[in-house]
Amino acid sequence: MPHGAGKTDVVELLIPSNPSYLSMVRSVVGAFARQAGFDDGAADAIVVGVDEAVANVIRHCYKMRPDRGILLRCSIIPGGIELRLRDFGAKTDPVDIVCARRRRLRPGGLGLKMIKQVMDTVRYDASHPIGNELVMVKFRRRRGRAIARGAGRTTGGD
Amino acid sequence: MELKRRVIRGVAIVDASGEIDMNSSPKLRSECQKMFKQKDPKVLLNFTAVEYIDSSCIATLIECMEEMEKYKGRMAIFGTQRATRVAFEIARMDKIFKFYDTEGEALKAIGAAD
Repeated sequence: MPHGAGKTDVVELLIPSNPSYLSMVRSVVGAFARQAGFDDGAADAIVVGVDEAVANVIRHCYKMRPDRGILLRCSIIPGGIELRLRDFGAKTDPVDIVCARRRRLRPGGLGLKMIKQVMDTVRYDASHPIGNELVMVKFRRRRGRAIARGAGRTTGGD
Repeated sequence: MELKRRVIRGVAIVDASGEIDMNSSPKLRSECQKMFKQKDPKVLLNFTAVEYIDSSCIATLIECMEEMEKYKGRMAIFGTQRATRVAFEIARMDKIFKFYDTEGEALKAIGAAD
Protein backbone atom coordinates (compact mmCIF):
# COMPACT_ATOMS: atom_id res chain seq x y z
CA MET A 1 0.00 0.00 0.00
CA PRO A 2 1.48 3.38 -0.96
CA HIS A 3 2.29 5.89 1.73
CA GLY A 4 -0.83 7.40 3.24
CA ALA A 5 -3.28 5.46 1.05
CA GLY A 6 -6.75 5.07 2.43
CA LYS A 7 -10.43 5.36 1.61
CA THR A 8 -10.01 9.02 0.77
CA ASP A 9 -7.51 8.33 -2.01
CA VAL A 10 -9.91 9.27 -4.76
CA VAL A 11 -9.45 11.62 -7.71
CA GLU A 12 -12.37 12.61 -9.91
CA LEU A 13 -12.09 14.28 -13.27
CA LEU A 14 -15.05 15.63 -15.23
CA ILE A 15 -14.18 16.43 -18.84
CA PRO A 16 -16.07 17.35 -21.99
CA SER A 17 -16.30 14.61 -24.63
CA ASN A 18 -13.81 16.52 -26.74
CA PRO A 19 -10.76 14.53 -27.93
CA SER A 20 -8.53 17.49 -27.14
CA TYR A 21 -9.01 16.64 -23.43
CA LEU A 22 -7.56 13.14 -23.81
CA SER A 23 -4.09 14.49 -23.10
CA MET A 24 -5.31 15.84 -19.76
CA VAL A 25 -6.84 12.45 -18.88
CA ARG A 26 -3.53 10.74 -19.65
CA SER A 27 -1.61 13.15 -17.43
CA VAL A 28 -3.95 12.68 -14.47
CA VAL A 29 -4.15 8.89 -14.79
CA GLY A 30 -0.38 8.51 -15.18
CA ALA A 31 0.26 10.63 -12.09
CA PHE A 32 -2.41 8.77 -10.12
CA ALA A 33 -1.03 5.34 -11.05
CA ARG A 34 2.47 6.36 -9.93
CA GLN A 35 1.01 7.79 -6.72
CA ALA A 36 -0.64 4.39 -6.18
CA GLY A 37 2.72 2.65 -6.39
CA PHE A 38 2.87 1.45 -10.00
CA ASP A 39 6.22 1.73 -11.75
CA ASP A 40 6.65 3.77 -14.94
CA GLY A 41 6.03 0.88 -17.34
CA ALA A 42 2.87 -0.20 -15.55
CA ALA A 43 1.65 3.39 -15.25
CA ASP A 44 2.18 3.84 -19.00
CA ALA A 45 0.10 0.72 -19.66
CA ILE A 46 -2.72 1.92 -17.39
CA VAL A 47 -2.71 5.26 -19.20
CA VAL A 48 -3.16 3.41 -22.51
CA GLY A 49 -6.10 1.41 -21.14
CA VAL A 50 -7.95 4.43 -19.74
CA ASP A 51 -7.22 6.57 -22.81
CA GLU A 52 -8.72 3.88 -25.05
CA ALA A 53 -11.78 3.62 -22.82
CA VAL A 54 -12.39 7.39 -22.92
CA ALA A 55 -11.82 7.44 -26.68
CA ASN A 56 -14.41 4.68 -27.08
CA VAL A 57 -16.95 6.69 -25.08
CA ILE A 58 -16.36 9.70 -27.34
CA ARG A 59 -16.50 7.54 -30.47
CA HIS A 60 -19.39 5.18 -29.68
CA CYS A 61 -21.53 6.65 -26.90
CA TYR A 62 -21.34 10.28 -27.92
CA LYS A 63 -20.79 9.75 -31.67
CA MET A 64 -17.97 12.34 -31.60
CA ARG A 65 -20.14 15.08 -30.07
CA PRO A 66 -17.64 17.21 -28.14
CA ASP A 67 -20.04 18.86 -25.67
CA ARG A 68 -21.13 15.98 -23.45
CA GLY A 69 -19.75 14.97 -20.06
CA ILE A 70 -17.40 12.13 -19.06
CA LEU A 71 -16.64 11.44 -15.41
CA LEU A 72 -13.52 9.50 -14.47
CA ARG A 73 -13.15 8.35 -10.87
CA CYS A 74 -9.77 6.94 -9.82
CA SER A 75 -9.51 5.16 -6.47
CA ILE A 76 -6.72 3.39 -4.67
CA ILE A 77 -7.95 -0.02 -3.52
CA PRO A 78 -6.06 -2.76 -1.65
CA GLY A 79 -3.33 -3.95 -3.99
CA GLY A 80 -4.13 -1.67 -6.89
CA ILE A 81 -6.41 0.92 -8.38
CA GLU A 82 -9.99 1.09 -9.61
CA LEU A 83 -10.96 3.35 -12.49
CA ARG A 84 -14.65 4.07 -13.06
CA LEU A 85 -15.62 5.74 -16.31
CA ARG A 86 -19.13 7.15 -16.42
CA ASP A 87 -20.84 8.53 -19.49
CA PHE A 88 -24.33 9.86 -20.10
CA GLY A 89 -24.66 8.84 -23.73
CA ALA A 90 -26.22 6.05 -25.75
CA LYS A 91 -26.49 2.61 -24.17
CA THR A 92 -23.85 0.30 -25.57
CA ASP A 93 -25.53 -2.55 -27.40
CA PRO A 94 -23.95 -5.93 -26.56
CA VAL A 95 -24.25 -6.80 -30.27
CA ASP A 96 -21.98 -3.85 -31.02
CA ILE A 97 -19.47 -5.26 -28.56
CA VAL A 98 -19.47 -8.61 -30.37
CA CYS A 99 -19.04 -6.79 -33.67
CA ALA A 100 -16.20 -4.75 -32.21
CA ARG A 101 -14.43 -7.96 -31.28
CA ARG A 102 -14.51 -8.92 -34.96
CA ARG A 103 -13.03 -5.54 -35.93
CA ARG A 104 -9.93 -5.77 -33.81
CA LEU A 105 -7.79 -3.79 -36.19
CA ARG A 106 -10.13 -0.83 -36.35
CA PRO A 107 -9.61 1.81 -33.65
CA GLY A 108 -12.76 0.89 -31.66
CA GLY A 109 -12.18 -2.87 -31.70
CA LEU A 110 -8.44 -2.59 -31.24
CA GLY A 111 -9.01 -0.18 -28.35
CA LEU A 112 -11.26 -2.70 -26.61
CA LYS A 113 -8.63 -5.37 -27.03
CA MET A 114 -6.00 -3.03 -25.54
CA ILE A 115 -8.19 -2.22 -22.53
CA LYS A 116 -8.63 -5.93 -21.80
CA GLN A 117 -4.94 -6.55 -22.27
CA VAL A 118 -3.97 -3.89 -19.72
CA MET A 119 -6.58 -4.29 -17.00
CA ASP A 120 -7.05 -7.23 -14.63
CA THR A 121 -10.82 -6.87 -14.64
CA VAL A 122 -13.14 -4.87 -16.88
CA ARG A 123 -16.80 -4.72 -15.92
CA TYR A 124 -19.50 -2.98 -17.90
CA ASP A 125 -22.41 -1.60 -15.87
CA ALA A 126 -25.47 -0.75 -17.97
CA SER A 127 -27.83 -0.54 -14.98
CA HIS A 128 -27.84 3.27 -14.85
CA PRO A 129 -31.07 4.85 -16.13
CA ILE A 130 -28.96 7.09 -18.34
CA GLY A 131 -25.60 6.22 -19.84
CA ASN A 132 -23.04 3.57 -18.99
CA GLU A 133 -20.26 2.88 -16.53
CA LEU A 134 -17.07 0.97 -17.22
CA VAL A 135 -15.26 -0.28 -14.12
CA MET A 136 -11.61 -1.21 -14.62
CA VAL A 137 -9.30 -2.63 -11.97
CA LYS A 138 -5.55 -3.03 -12.13
CA PHE A 139 -3.51 -4.73 -9.42
CA ARG A 140 0.16 -4.21 -8.75
CA ARG A 141 2.32 -7.17 -9.69
CA ARG A 142 5.19 -8.60 -7.74
CA ARG A 143 8.58 -7.40 -8.91
CA GLY A 144 9.71 -9.13 -12.10
CA ARG A 145 6.28 -9.90 -13.54
CA ALA A 146 5.16 -8.16 -16.69
CA ILE A 147 2.50 -5.56 -16.01
CA ALA A 148 1.35 -4.96 -19.57
CA ARG A 149 0.53 -8.63 -20.08
CA GLY A 150 -2.52 -8.63 -17.87
CA ALA A 151 -4.74 -11.69 -18.06
CA GLY A 152 -7.90 -9.61 -18.09
CA ARG A 153 -11.27 -11.10 -17.18
CA THR A 154 -13.76 -9.08 -19.09
CA THR A 155 -17.50 -8.88 -19.17
CA GLY A 156 -17.86 -6.34 -21.93
CA GLY A 157 -17.42 -2.68 -22.74
CA ASP A 158 -16.46 -0.79 -25.87
CA MET B 1 1.40 16.45 -33.36
CA GLU B 2 3.77 17.61 -36.09
CA LEU B 3 4.87 15.71 -39.20
CA LYS B 4 7.79 16.61 -41.44
CA ARG B 5 8.84 14.65 -44.50
CA ARG B 6 12.38 14.40 -45.88
CA VAL B 7 14.16 12.05 -48.25
CA ILE B 8 17.56 10.52 -47.51
CA ARG B 9 19.31 8.12 -49.89
CA GLY B 10 16.05 7.22 -51.62
CA VAL B 11 14.15 6.64 -48.37
CA ALA B 12 11.20 8.81 -47.33
CA ILE B 13 11.52 9.65 -43.65
CA VAL B 14 8.55 11.06 -41.73
CA ASP B 15 9.65 12.84 -38.57
CA ALA B 16 6.69 12.75 -36.18
CA SER B 17 6.49 14.55 -32.86
CA GLY B 18 4.04 15.01 -30.00
CA GLU B 19 1.03 12.83 -29.23
CA ILE B 20 -0.75 10.77 -31.90
CA ASP B 21 -4.24 9.99 -30.64
CA MET B 22 -7.78 10.10 -32.01
CA ASN B 23 -7.48 13.88 -32.12
CA SER B 24 -4.40 13.94 -34.33
CA SER B 25 -4.22 10.59 -36.14
CA PRO B 26 -6.29 11.86 -39.13
CA LYS B 27 -3.28 14.06 -39.93
CA LEU B 28 -1.00 10.99 -39.89
CA ARG B 29 -3.49 9.14 -42.10
CA SER B 30 -3.48 12.01 -44.57
CA GLU B 31 0.33 11.94 -44.72
CA CYS B 32 0.26 8.16 -45.25
CA GLN B 33 -2.21 8.54 -48.09
CA LYS B 34 0.18 10.94 -49.82
CA MET B 35 2.85 8.25 -49.62
CA PHE B 36 0.51 5.64 -51.15
CA LYS B 37 -0.25 7.96 -54.06
CA GLN B 38 3.44 8.56 -54.68
CA LYS B 39 4.13 4.84 -54.17
CA ASP B 40 7.11 5.60 -51.96
CA PRO B 41 9.02 2.29 -52.01
CA LYS B 42 10.82 2.74 -48.69
CA VAL B 43 9.40 4.65 -45.74
CA LEU B 44 10.81 5.19 -42.26
CA LEU B 45 8.79 6.68 -39.43
CA ASN B 46 10.89 8.59 -36.94
CA PHE B 47 9.13 8.26 -33.57
CA THR B 48 12.00 9.70 -31.52
CA ALA B 49 9.91 12.72 -30.52
CA VAL B 50 6.54 10.95 -30.30
CA GLU B 51 5.35 10.99 -26.70
CA TYR B 52 2.16 8.92 -26.99
CA ILE B 53 0.23 6.78 -29.48
CA ASP B 54 -3.19 5.17 -29.23
CA SER B 55 -5.13 2.54 -31.18
CA SER B 56 -6.12 5.04 -33.89
CA CYS B 57 -2.42 5.62 -34.62
CA ILE B 58 -1.70 1.89 -34.65
CA ALA B 59 -4.69 1.22 -36.93
CA THR B 60 -3.44 3.94 -39.29
CA LEU B 61 0.03 2.37 -39.36
CA ILE B 62 -1.46 -1.06 -40.11
CA GLU B 63 -3.44 0.44 -42.97
CA CYS B 64 -0.28 2.17 -44.18
CA MET B 65 1.71 -1.06 -44.12
CA GLU B 66 -1.03 -2.99 -45.93
CA GLU B 67 -1.29 -0.35 -48.65
CA MET B 68 2.48 -0.33 -49.12
CA GLU B 69 2.59 -4.11 -49.39
CA LYS B 70 0.28 -3.85 -52.41
CA TYR B 71 3.09 -2.20 -54.39
CA LYS B 72 5.91 -4.08 -52.62
CA GLY B 73 6.83 -1.05 -50.51
CA ARG B 74 8.55 -1.38 -47.13
CA MET B 75 8.00 0.51 -43.90
CA ALA B 76 9.83 0.55 -40.58
CA ILE B 77 9.82 2.60 -37.39
CA PHE B 78 12.76 3.89 -35.39
CA GLY B 79 13.40 5.72 -32.13
CA THR B 80 10.32 4.68 -30.15
CA GLN B 81 10.14 5.89 -26.56
CA ARG B 82 9.02 3.69 -23.66
CA ALA B 83 5.41 4.94 -23.68
CA THR B 84 4.94 4.34 -27.41
CA ARG B 85 6.63 0.94 -27.27
CA VAL B 86 4.27 -0.05 -24.44
CA ALA B 87 1.28 0.79 -26.66
CA PHE B 88 2.62 -1.37 -29.50
CA GLU B 89 3.19 -4.23 -27.05
CA ILE B 90 -0.29 -3.96 -25.54
CA ALA B 91 -1.82 -4.06 -29.03
CA ARG B 92 0.43 -7.06 -29.77
CA MET B 93 1.77 -5.18 -32.76
CA ASP B 94 5.39 -5.17 -31.60
CA LYS B 95 6.04 -8.24 -33.76
CA ILE B 96 4.15 -6.92 -36.78
CA PHE B 97 6.16 -3.76 -37.39
CA LYS B 98 9.93 -3.54 -37.82
CA PHE B 99 11.57 -1.42 -35.10
CA TYR B 100 15.08 0.01 -34.99
CA ASP B 101 16.80 2.11 -32.38
CA THR B 102 18.45 4.66 -34.67
CA GLU B 103 17.96 6.24 -38.07
CA GLY B 104 21.26 4.76 -39.24
CA GLU B 105 20.22 1.22 -38.33
CA ALA B 106 16.83 1.70 -39.96
CA LEU B 107 18.32 3.11 -43.19
CA LYS B 108 20.70 0.18 -43.42
CA ALA B 109 17.97 -2.38 -42.72
CA ILE B 110 15.52 -0.98 -45.25
CA GLY B 111 18.18 -0.92 -47.95
CA ALA B 112 18.92 2.77 -48.43
CA ALA B 113 20.98 3.63 -51.51
CA ASP B 114 24.72 4.09 -50.90
